[in-house]
Amino acid sequence: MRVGVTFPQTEIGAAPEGVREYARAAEAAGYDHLLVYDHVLGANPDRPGGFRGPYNHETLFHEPMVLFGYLAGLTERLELVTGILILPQRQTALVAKQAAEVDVLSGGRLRLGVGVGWNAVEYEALGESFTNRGRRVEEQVALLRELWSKPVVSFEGRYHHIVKAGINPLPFRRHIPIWMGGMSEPVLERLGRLADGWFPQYREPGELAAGLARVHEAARAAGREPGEIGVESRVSVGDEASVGPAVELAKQWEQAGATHLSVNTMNQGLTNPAQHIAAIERFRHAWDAVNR
Amino acid sequence: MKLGVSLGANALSADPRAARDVAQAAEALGLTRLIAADHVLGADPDRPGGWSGPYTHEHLWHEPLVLFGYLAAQTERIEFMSGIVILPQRQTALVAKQAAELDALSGGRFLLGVGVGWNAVEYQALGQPFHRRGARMDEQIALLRALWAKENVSFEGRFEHVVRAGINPRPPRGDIPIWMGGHSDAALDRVGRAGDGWYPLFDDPALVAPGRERIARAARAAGRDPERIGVQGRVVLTGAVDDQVAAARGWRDAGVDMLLLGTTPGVSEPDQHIAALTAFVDTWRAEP
Repeated sequence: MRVGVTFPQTEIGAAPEGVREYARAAEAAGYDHLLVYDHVLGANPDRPGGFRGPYNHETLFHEPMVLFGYLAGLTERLELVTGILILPQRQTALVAKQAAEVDVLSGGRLRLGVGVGWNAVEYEALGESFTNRGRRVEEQVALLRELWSKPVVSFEGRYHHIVKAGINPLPFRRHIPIWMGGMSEPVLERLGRLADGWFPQYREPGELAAGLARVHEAARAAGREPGEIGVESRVSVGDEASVGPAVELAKQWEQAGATHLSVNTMNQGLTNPAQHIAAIERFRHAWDAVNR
Repeated sequence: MKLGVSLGANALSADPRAARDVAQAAEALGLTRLIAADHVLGADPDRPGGWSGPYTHEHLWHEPLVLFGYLAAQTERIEFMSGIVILPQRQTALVAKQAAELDALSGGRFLLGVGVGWNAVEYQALGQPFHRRGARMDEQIALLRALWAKENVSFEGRFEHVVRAGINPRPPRGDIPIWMGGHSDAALDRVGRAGDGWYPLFDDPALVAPGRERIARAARAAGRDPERIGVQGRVVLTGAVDDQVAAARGWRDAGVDMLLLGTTPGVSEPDQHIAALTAFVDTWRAEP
């Protein structure tokens, strides 16, 4: 199982020093990847109709594409992962271009996790439709793969129209893995058919089997090899006492079929980059000890 | 007059070391600004109706905002300016977010150069209308400034709708300088009304004075101080160095704040760019 870190978006602060030290520490500790969440805007909860989202306009989120450009120059080995990028609220061709740029600058280290999000306020501010996001994301994935693999693309879809145009540079290997988040029935079917991997959000490893069976069924129906679809789960780590249970849970995820895992340190009462770094180092030390 | 470097079409290969080497050499030479252009897509010229644009799908353009993120980690002082981002073909709130991210990670070293572009193929591929791009850009600039200045923005325009939302992080200074290209009357009026700097693309410094005059009129009409609007000129590093330096004197005498050294067309080796920049700077400093 490949083990990475969840970049503590909401707690690391805006200053480049903390970002730099965190990424370098994650790589030095032996982590395989760095996963970031994405929100372009936050909604003020004081609004007509109220607001129940987990984040608001006061929550800090680094923008993944620019952040990954920065981290490509500061790290050498770390895989850079969006987990997830809210794809249907962005323009497909620009995502293709910026993802390819990250991939080129990092020597092929980008894994693009995509999802449809939940915040209609963001979609509105970005001028995209919230209601058809599930249908659009399928077409977006098809177009991304076209733009990444061919220098010239013509594409006539329901939502996208491209006439003999392309991006340049193409990605490092003319391919960027696309993973998907979510757990609803249409999402499981879609990702079995289309995705290179899955970010399930179950709390218990025992819940994975049923969802994974559905994904594999959809994969076989689409003529794909189910074993090639990755699964990334997560555990949370904060203080010293949290490390043992987190390692135990990570082992359970591995046995349940997770191919990847990321270690989250947000919402654990940590208040600065140094504390987040200490937490991921503690987990890594304990994880290496049980796998030695 | 400060000096900067402007990366032209195909000036860099896809190898990131090329971008890093040129940026670090420019910084070591004392250049204070690095400019990269923006084309999200290139068009295949073999198309119905033919093709007359200056670039095709075979021209390599690094995506400037991601590239500047990379270079922010590789440099300490040099400023980065998009030259230019084709603003109306992008989503305003995402440009605001990415520009603010870049400004935060670079320690306030980012300037956003914007323009309306010329390539309808790109607009179509990005799902944005080509024909109202001037009017849209005016509104986009107003929304960018609002999103950078305030944590909570409501904006009801003709094209943009934001209801009580904001970006975080915002730029450390609460704003990012916006520079604009073009020299049509409409472009000059927009610079005066809303811009922090003017980036003309002509090669004749004699055109600076009339352009500045028009910008100043528009600025005063909008209650802004024309003195605070910068101007940059450009000399392409081709031909004899003495001729390049003579052209640079023309720009200096025309009163521009910043002279961009455009990379030599047809060259994509970083060492050759660095040699050309060094030759110019050495000659310029010896006998400005």
